[in-house]
Amino acid sequence: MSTINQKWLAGLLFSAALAGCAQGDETAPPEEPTAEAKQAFLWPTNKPNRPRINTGSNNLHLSNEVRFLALQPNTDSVNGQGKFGVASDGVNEDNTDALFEGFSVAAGGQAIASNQRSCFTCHRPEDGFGLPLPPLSNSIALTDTLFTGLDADAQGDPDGLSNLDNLALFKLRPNRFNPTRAPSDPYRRVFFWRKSPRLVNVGFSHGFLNDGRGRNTFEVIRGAIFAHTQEGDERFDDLFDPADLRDIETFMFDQVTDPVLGALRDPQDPMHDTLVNNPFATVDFQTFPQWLGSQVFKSKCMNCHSTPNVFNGLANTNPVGTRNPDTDPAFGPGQGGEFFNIGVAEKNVHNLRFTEWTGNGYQPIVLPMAAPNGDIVNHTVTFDIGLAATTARTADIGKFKVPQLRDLADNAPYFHDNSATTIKEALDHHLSSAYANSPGGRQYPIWVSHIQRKWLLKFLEIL
Amino acid sequence: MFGPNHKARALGCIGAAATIISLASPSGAHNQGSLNKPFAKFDMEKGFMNLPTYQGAGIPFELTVIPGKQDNCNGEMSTTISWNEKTNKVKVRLRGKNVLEPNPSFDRTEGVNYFPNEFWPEPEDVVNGRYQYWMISPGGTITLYYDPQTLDLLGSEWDFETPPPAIPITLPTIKVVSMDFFQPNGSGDVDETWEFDYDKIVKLDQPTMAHHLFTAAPGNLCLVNPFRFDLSTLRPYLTYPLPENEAVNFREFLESGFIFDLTVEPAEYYTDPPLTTQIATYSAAALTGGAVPKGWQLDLAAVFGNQAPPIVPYPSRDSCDPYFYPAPKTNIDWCAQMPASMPQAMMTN
Repeated sequence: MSTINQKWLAGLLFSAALAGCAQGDETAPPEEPTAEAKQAFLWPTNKPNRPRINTGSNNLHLSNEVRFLALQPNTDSVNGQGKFGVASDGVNEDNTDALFEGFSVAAGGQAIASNQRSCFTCHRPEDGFGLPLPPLSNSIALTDTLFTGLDADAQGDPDGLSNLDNLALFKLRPNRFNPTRAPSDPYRRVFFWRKSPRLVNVGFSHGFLNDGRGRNTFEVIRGAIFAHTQEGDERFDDLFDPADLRDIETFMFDQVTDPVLGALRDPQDPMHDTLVNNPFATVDFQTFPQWLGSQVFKSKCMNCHSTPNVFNGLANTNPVGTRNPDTDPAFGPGQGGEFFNIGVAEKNVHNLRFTEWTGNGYQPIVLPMAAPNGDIVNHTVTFDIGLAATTARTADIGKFKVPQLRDLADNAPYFHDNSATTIKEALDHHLSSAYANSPGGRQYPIWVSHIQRKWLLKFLEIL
Repeated sequence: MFGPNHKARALGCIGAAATIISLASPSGAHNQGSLNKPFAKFDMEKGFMNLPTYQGAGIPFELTVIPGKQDNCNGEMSTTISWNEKTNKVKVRLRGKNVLEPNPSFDRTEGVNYFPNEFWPEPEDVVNGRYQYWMISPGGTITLYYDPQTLDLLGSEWDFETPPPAIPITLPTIKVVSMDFFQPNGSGDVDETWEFDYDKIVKLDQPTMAHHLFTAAPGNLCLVNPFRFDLSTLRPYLTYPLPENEAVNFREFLESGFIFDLTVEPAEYYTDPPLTTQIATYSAAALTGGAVPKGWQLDLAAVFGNQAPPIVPYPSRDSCDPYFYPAPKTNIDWCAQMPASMPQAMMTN
């Protein structure tokens, strides 16, 4: 028997032994694992700065260094809170300073009227700066600007209200405000249905929005205001004071589930190295099975959920504008990241429609895309194509950002389309044939035993 | 321990190496598609990257792309970059078979693919020229100065000892640094390796000088719409090489994304300090995710304006015709279109 098989067998037997113990007393306080126990879990693990081979459309400059988007200097979080639309009580809405409207030269000399939505409308403090569980009308009145402002994003789509209320999904055209392409260009017309991402811990993101296409928060905030607060396709860049958007960014980055996590962003913080070197330093283990789950997670999940203590994707680039945002413009590549197609989009659990509403019928959207060998492929959109809508590469079809997992139990529903309602459902997708047959699943196959799955669930539930 | 992941990586390396070695065989004009894969084994301190290198992949405004060889006008090359901070070495290797005409000549026509530019002087034609390879990456900003009366461009911060009494405008830049000149062999084959110091990237043809800075600038402030790159009238702007003490660490190139560009240069320098022509053949770009695929082009207007998608089909992908990449040019006088407050907005955005 080869060395690798011997070690695997030993690990398996030891796991089984541990499983037996764990099943016997799941509520017992955690014990310090023995060196032997730790040895049993020395499966291949993610290592910071591990060299990688990238092909296709993944950014070739990705690194696993623990670093995050730098904040602008001299910003004002309190002003940012007001511009975001959160009242001074930190809970309710106050959009007095949060609307962007007026005469716009950039929009061709027209007056832009806000539909009275603010950032708060879709990112509510009591819901982790996201939205509550659908149906939304169970907890948000139909007279709320969330619903009355629907046509800013749905633009008359017959499924707009139903998908928003019942599934908490917004219609989004990612290239809606690209003036360099004609309105008839399929990249201007392509759309998807997406959840409102929760913003707690957004300061640890590498790439923003569900598919990571946003390269910095300034541009993402501006795009969100374009898309959700007025019905036209005109940009009104001149209605933004860049300083206000930077203040909003600072306010957003202040929202963390655990203040200790802030040390990850600050190499000078005494806790920084601890959080970098111990991926579970801030996890409050109460039982031994929870700790066992963390070890399964380490070996099976941290190839992608690799940021220590936050568990989103760590792979990032560090272009100008990220390193020196006070002096250099955002220019060139975005900060994130490594994106994966794990088969969620193709499943299209909610049977969402991706043909274009023309006013009296539906027509398919066909995008000319680059195959890895450079051939032009005309792709008919039948499910959410993810990152490919903004990169024009077939290799990016169905790719999304690796979401962070802190506070996971409070973040339901899961995935970009809210298609998993529980942690168990989300986990089981990763153990399914849909995952195994997906490009991401083939790159990082996951197999866990029944008891390992049980431990994993216990770990994920306490994050 | 040699596990499945190691096997996959090893096979990937072998496959990638094989594709580099067996670069495209001679072909005609039709875009054949490429099996030459981009890959990187990446670490800031030590690593390597392979970039498939084609015509049109990453080119600046007002550059003319010419076929490398008429009997292989959509050929492929391969650029391999390796670096090691400890040994203070960065190597760039450019390879290809039957890819370049020795001693290239090319005539341009004023008003068609040659537009004299006082901020980037260059000869109209190249006769019995030579090749030069360039490493390119986003830089910081440059301050340009404009005449407060005429609003005409006067020059950049690198042209004045002290800031002049003029309107300063800050623009993003791309930094470009050159390797030494070369010729292919008689068959058009190329296998060249250049070596930089990791801690100090200087021009290899003039090691006492650092990189140049490139930007796209309005010749007059009334020709720019501060919110719409595509509606502005812009010209390429290139500084002379910066002084040696301005040379940056390789990380400054590595972290921001690469473009490589193979230019066609006259047999002798035509300025002192040297500049470059806007005639080129092959290029590679990894400025956005992955490398730009064969037959596609980095859309610089999209990159500057943060628009998506950032790549478009290269217009000459199925032909042997030279391609001229025009700069944004609307000739709209925005001073006549905008309120009096607009110059202030132009300076703050």
